Amino acid sequence: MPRRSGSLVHAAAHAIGAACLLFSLAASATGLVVIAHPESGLVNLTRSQVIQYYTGRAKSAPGGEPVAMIDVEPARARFYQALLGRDVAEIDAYWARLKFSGQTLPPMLVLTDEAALERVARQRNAIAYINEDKVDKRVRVVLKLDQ
Amino acid sequence: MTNKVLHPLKERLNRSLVLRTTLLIVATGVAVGLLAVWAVLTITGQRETERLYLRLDALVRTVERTASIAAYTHDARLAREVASGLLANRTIARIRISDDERELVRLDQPGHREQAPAKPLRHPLYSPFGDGEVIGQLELVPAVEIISATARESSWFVALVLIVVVSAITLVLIWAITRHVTQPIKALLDELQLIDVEFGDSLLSIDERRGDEISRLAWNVNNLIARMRGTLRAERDLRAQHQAAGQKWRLIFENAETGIFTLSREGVLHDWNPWLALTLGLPVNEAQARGKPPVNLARLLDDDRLPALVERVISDFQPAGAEFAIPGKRNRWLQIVLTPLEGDSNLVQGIANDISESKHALARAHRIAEQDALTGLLNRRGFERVGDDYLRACRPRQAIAVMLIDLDGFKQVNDTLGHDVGDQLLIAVARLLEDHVRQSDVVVRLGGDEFLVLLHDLASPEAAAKVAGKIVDAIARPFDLSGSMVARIGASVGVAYCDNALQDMDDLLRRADEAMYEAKNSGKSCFRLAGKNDPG
Repeated sequence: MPRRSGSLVHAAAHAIGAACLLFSLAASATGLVVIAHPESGLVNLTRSQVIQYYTGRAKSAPGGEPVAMIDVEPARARFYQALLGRDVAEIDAYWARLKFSGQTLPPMLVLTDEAALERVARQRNAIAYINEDKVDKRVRVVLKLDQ
Repeated sequence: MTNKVLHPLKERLNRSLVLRTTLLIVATGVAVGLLAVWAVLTITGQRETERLYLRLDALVRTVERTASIAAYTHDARLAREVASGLLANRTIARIRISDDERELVRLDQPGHREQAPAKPLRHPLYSPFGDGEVIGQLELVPAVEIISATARESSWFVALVLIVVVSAITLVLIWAITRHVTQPIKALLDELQLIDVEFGDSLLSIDERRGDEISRLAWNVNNLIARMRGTLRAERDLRAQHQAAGQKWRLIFENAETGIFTLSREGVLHDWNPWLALTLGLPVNEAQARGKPPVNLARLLDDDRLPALVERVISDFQPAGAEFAIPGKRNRWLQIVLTPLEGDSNLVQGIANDISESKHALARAHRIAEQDALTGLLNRRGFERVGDDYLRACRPRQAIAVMLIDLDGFKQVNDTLGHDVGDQLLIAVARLLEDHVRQSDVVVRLGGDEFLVLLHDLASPEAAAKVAGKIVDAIARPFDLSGSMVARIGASVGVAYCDNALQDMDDLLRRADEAMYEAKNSGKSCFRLAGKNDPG
């Protein structure tokens, strides 16, 4: 049951994300960064590490605690394009197969950069991505993504 | 035992074209079928196995992406889902999916018992996000037995179809060949066996107009029969003619009153007719001649002149003949004429005529001419023929003597008692003379009352004188004649003795004559011996 509601939330987020795409591209021309809690074991992540976390291949930080991925709706398409060179649809299809087994959970979706910042600041093992110019002292940048 | 059983089959096979052809086709069909089935089983089995492996490969490809994701995310549950999905295919015995660290799932086909460990098929699993990184492996063990069984099943189906097709072709072939080739030939044969060529039969059962090989064969056979009939008829006529001619010649040959024969250069008789056989005592026919040595005519006749005659005929190439005495038969003669044979220098043809009759007639004529008709003694001519023979044979101690005997007083008897009595007297004298000499001595009536006696094989003149004296004495005795008449005559005898073959008969006669006159002059009824070589 929770899986299904999650999926519905995800689908709704996609719809909204698509609607806001043009606006967000215009509003933020700056690059994306991956952020983590300042006290977490995650300091400098490689691009490959980020890929592994966001595709469910790696599930825990070097310290041992599980990593929680957060999808941020406004930059989601840009993020996956920059990270994997894939469409969001492809990523969704990928997760659809994994959701079938239920062992590997997809990233949690938040709708704004602010919500992402708040979440990462609150949860020690969370990672998210936001526009570079939104970064503040509550979080630590672990990887800068080139456009 | 097996041989005995096999022989009739072999015999039947040799005799029956239908059986042999059918057996050959069946054997070929079986061989071709077996070969085809073997090929199908081998090739189809291989291809079917390959196909099943390809299908496995395709199957793996359809689940590859999901398996990759499972391996990428180390998701054992997803991997198990993939594996159990694959196992729905019964040709897979075992599935293993592992990521780069450990085995995620390992599933076996339920109820499958592995006979021999088959070689697993291994598929590398790549990262779902490109860059070709191998992040796991899908290992698949095929259920070889099931694959083979499946392949075998479909191969057998193909083989079965093939067997049916080959059998059908074989049957059709047998039917076609039997119907169109062997049966017509057999029918032809059966008809040929019953055919009577002379009666004018021909093959009817085959439709000549169809124009195929069998009907052409029948047509040719019919032609042949027609020609053969003509030939047979001609030959029969010819044989009849020949027989008639032969009969005629044989009759002539067999019934001829003449010997007809052929003779080799060596004198061996080859053929002869019954007349010659009877005359010479030869075998009359083949049956009698069998097993006997060949007859040599020269040896049979015991005459050296025959080989010479044969040689002459062959070398001159001209007929020649001679007379031969028939051995073992007195006074029978054959005249044999030999003729060379055209084209065979080693054989002559001969005819033999019995000339005994004419020879006897001739001898009789000779005898009559040399005989005195009244007394039956030799006459002068007869003496002239034989006299010289005696003269030539004479020598000392085997001398001859010629006695001339002139009757004294015969003329008076003749005149007074008549010619008949005179004749009787002459006959009596003749018998008397014969009685006083040996059989081999010669008694001659020279004419009138003049007789001659030739003695031979004398030891001395005295022996001759002794005979002469006896003759003189005997004639001086009275002769009892018919009609109880008695005639008294005498004889004057002149004897010439000779022991020398060089002497001349005329000379001898002259001396005897002189001696006879001397006796007459000395008073008659006495004899005188002529002086030795006395010309006076």
